[in-house]
Amino acid sequence: MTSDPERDLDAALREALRVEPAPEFLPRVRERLRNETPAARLGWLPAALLAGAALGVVVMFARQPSDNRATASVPDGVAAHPAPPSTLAAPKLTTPPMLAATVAPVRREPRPPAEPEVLVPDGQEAAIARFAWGLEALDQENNLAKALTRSTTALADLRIEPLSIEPLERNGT
Amino acid sequence: MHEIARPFEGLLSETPDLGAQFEASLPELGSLAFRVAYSVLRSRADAEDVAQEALVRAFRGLRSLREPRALRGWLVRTSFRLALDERRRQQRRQQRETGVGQAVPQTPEDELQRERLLRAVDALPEKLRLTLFLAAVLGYDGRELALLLGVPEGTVKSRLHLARRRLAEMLR
Repeated sequence: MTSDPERDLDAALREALRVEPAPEFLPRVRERLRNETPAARLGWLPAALLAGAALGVVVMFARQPSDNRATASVPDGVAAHPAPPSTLAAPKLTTPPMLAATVAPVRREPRPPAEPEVLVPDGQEAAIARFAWGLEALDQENNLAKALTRSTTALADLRIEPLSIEPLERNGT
Repeated sequence: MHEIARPFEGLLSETPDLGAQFEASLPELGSLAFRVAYSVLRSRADAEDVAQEALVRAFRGLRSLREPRALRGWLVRTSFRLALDERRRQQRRQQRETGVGQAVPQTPEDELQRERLLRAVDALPEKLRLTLFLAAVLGYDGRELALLLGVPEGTVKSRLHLARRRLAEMLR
C-alpha cells in the first residue's frame, strides 16, 4: 500500500481484473471473421439487385399509362403524326395521379384511307373542281348569286345518271 | 506491469485495405474487447463470447466508419454495452432460478476484499464505471480517454474524480 489512495485503488482494480483471454480465443474470432468476410463485403449486392429490379418494374408500369394518356388526349389527326418524346411526356407530368388512374384508354377509330374514294365518274373531275372553286369564291366575294351561277355553270358538263331506287321489301317478302 | 493498449498507435491508417489491417490488429483489439467485457462479466467464457461479438460487429461496420481511428473507441463502447446486456440477462436468469440476487461466495479474506471492490465498482453508474476501468486498468490518460469516449477531456477528469470518490466512500 502507498500513501496515495487513488493509486492504491487503481492497483487493486488492476489486480482484480488482470486477466487475458484464453489462447483459443483469437483463432475462434479469426474463424468467425473468415466466415463473415464474404457476407460483409458482398452484403450490398443482393440489396442492390433487388432495388434495381424494383426500379425497373416501377419505371415500366409508370411508362405504360402515360403513353395511353398521351394518345387519348391528342386528336386523331395529330396522333397520326408521331410527336416528339417530350410532347408525349408532358401529360405524365401535369396529370394528377388519381385522375390518371381513372382515365380509361380511348379506343382509336379506324383511320380513313390515305386517298378518298372517288365518287365522280372518270373524266368529270374538272367539272367538280370548277364547282368547288365557284363555291370557294363565295367566301372571298361575299356574293351568293354570282358564286352559285358560276358553280352551276361549271356543272353543265356533269352528267348524272338517274338513280333507280328499289321498293322496300315488306314483311320480309 | 500490465500491457497498455494505446488507442492510436499504428492502427487502421487511411489505407484502403481496412480488413487486412483489422486482422493484423486482432490480438490487441481482441484483448481490449475481452478485458472491457470481463470488467463487467467477471467470467472468462462470457467475456470471450461478448468480445467476439463486438469484434465481428466492428469488422462488419469497418467500411462505414468515417474515421478509421475511431474504431478502438467504438469497440470499447460496444464491448461494454454488450457485456452490460449479457450481465443483465444473467441476473434476470439467476433471479428467476433462485428468487434472490447473486449470493456472496464463501472465500478467503483476499477474495472477499476483491469481491467487495468489484461490487463497489459495479454499483457505479455505467459512464463512471467504464471511464474508471479504462483509466485504472488499461491505463489510458485523459486526452486518450476523451478521444476514445468522444467526450471533452474535462468531462473525463470529472468522471474519474467522481468515480474514485464514490468508490472510496463505498469501500470505507
